[in-house]
Amino acid sequence: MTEPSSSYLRIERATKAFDRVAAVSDFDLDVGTGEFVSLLGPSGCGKTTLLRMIGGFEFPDRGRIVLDAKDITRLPPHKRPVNMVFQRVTLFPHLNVYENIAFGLRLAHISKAERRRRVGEGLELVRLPGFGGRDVHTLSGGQAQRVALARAIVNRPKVLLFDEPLSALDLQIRRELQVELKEIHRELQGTFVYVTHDQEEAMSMSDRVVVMREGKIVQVGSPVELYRSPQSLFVASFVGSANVWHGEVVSTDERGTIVSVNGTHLRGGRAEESRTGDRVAMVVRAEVAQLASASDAAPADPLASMRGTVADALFVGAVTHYRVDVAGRRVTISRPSREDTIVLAAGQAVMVTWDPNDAYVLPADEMTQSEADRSTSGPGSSKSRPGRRTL
Amino acid sequence: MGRRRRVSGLLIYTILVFLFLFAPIAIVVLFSFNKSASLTFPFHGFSLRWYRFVFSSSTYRGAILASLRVGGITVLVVTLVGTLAALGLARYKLRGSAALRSSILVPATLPGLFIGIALLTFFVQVHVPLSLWTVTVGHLVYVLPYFFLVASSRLQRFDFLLEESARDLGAGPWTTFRRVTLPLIAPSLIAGVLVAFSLSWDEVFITFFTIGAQNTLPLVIYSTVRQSVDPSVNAISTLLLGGSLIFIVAIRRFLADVQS
Repeated sequence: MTEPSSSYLRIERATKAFDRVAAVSDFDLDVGTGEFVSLLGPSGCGKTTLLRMIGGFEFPDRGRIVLDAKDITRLPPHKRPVNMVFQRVTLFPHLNVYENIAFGLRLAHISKAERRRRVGEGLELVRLPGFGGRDVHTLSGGQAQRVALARAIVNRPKVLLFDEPLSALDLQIRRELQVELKEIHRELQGTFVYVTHDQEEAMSMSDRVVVMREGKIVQVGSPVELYRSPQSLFVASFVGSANVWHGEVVSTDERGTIVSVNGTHLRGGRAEESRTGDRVAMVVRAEVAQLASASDAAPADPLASMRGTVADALFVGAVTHYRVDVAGRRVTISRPSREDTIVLAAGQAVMVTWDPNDAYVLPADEMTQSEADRSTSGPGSSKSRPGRRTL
Repeated sequence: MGRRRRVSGLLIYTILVFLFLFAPIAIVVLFSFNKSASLTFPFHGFSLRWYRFVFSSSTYRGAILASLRVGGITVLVVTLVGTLAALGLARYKLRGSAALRSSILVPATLPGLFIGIALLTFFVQVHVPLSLWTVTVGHLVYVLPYFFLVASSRLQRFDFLLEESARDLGAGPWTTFRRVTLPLIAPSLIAGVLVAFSLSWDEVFITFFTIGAQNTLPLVIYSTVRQSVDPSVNAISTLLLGGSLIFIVAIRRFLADVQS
């Protein structure tokens, strides 16, 4: 786990309950200067409450929030050197773009010349030069959020907060803005705290991702760490498109863990904590499983393979998503299309194999189970793109 | 053939309805310019003598001033109280908000007669002498719900996240109200002010029961008509009509702005 070089924003044992239901409990987090940290989790996990506590819109019941060595726990929003970009468009409709961006600067008694300069810079930064005179009603959703970003940035906050600012936008605009936001972060070298329920968004932009559930941290790490070493089924099952098989540990050795799934013994990666008989979940990502014609040579490791039949193949260009029926369950496998010049057809007998080290064996988790099972229904079953899961 | 007959029948019906609606008004306006004191045809030619009479009459002047005073104070208080009520109920969704909202609207559903008698009984019991002040209190009770309704129209759809945005950008609560909330709800407040004033301006029932020595304009007109048939009533009525028309146009303008 990468620790921030220095703690700039520190949240200490923050706890907040609404109507006696804990939204955030005993939450600790350190954010370093210039770091881009995402809070990722399903709705109701407390990520927005945490962000609003940093912004000053909620006060924690217990705990402290320290920014740049100053306790800001009880400061009202207008006295905090932080600014937020909200989920909905919150530009002031009675002001034009320039006046909106200059709003904070005027309140801070910045001189007119300096205001003009900073607003110009801000518009430049969000790629909307010359938009100052525009009426906010004429802006598209993406433009409006860029203006909102400029309106926050020009105040030079110590931390910029984002409350799912892109979630209301079209997919394509969202992708564009994700890239731009990352670039802006690099240019400003500011400290960003970004709330999202979109794992791909969090992974693609952040230095560190804080995965949250029920007001607590599930796992913190760089996107690569979260992908490579998920510590729970909850994390593993939404990073990438995952197949989850529930079973019991049969034995463990240096080659990995043997798990009995409905009586079939399968080999997964090492799980230090696991004991024989433990209820576990084996997670095999769609993109790490291999697919071969059943007539090919016997698999290297019979315990890391399953015979099945292709139920359907969904060719989407760079990748082909297969759904394979294996012993009564459906497995999703995504292969780069270039390898499979001939796309395997439905009904074809195939062999599914995997490297045991890529198959995570994680403690079973009742809460995640239903969600994970739903996800194995695979591509084509819903409108969401395979390989991308929104919690 | 049959179709044409039906159309012309409809036309005659429409003309009759409009005559029924507007002929009395037209006659009042016409006779306000009559040269003679007669209120019957034939019309004796145009003159502004009744208007001169209205403006020179100390009774009318006093009544107009009294009505302006009552209306002005009513509007002032109602705007303050009503805006705060509308803001509070729009911003905080509490248990009992709906009940509170309907209870504010209750006076609008009560007959003016009832409110008038209730207030008279109340003032007599607490030994408050009847005056323009008691009239003003009566008007407050009567006008507040209407102002509240109009003021709420925009607040219902006001995005309070805008206030959080302003707070986030460094505005304290008061600055937030002045720079963001007030400019955005101003059109509906102005419409509310116009509605409140026009209701107070020609209120009769409650005024009748709570009035002291100094009469308001509607009561002066009422008593003038009862004593003698005086064409000056036509003149003052025409003036009122003109004023109301301006108000209605203004209210519609501001409400249209609220809708947009």
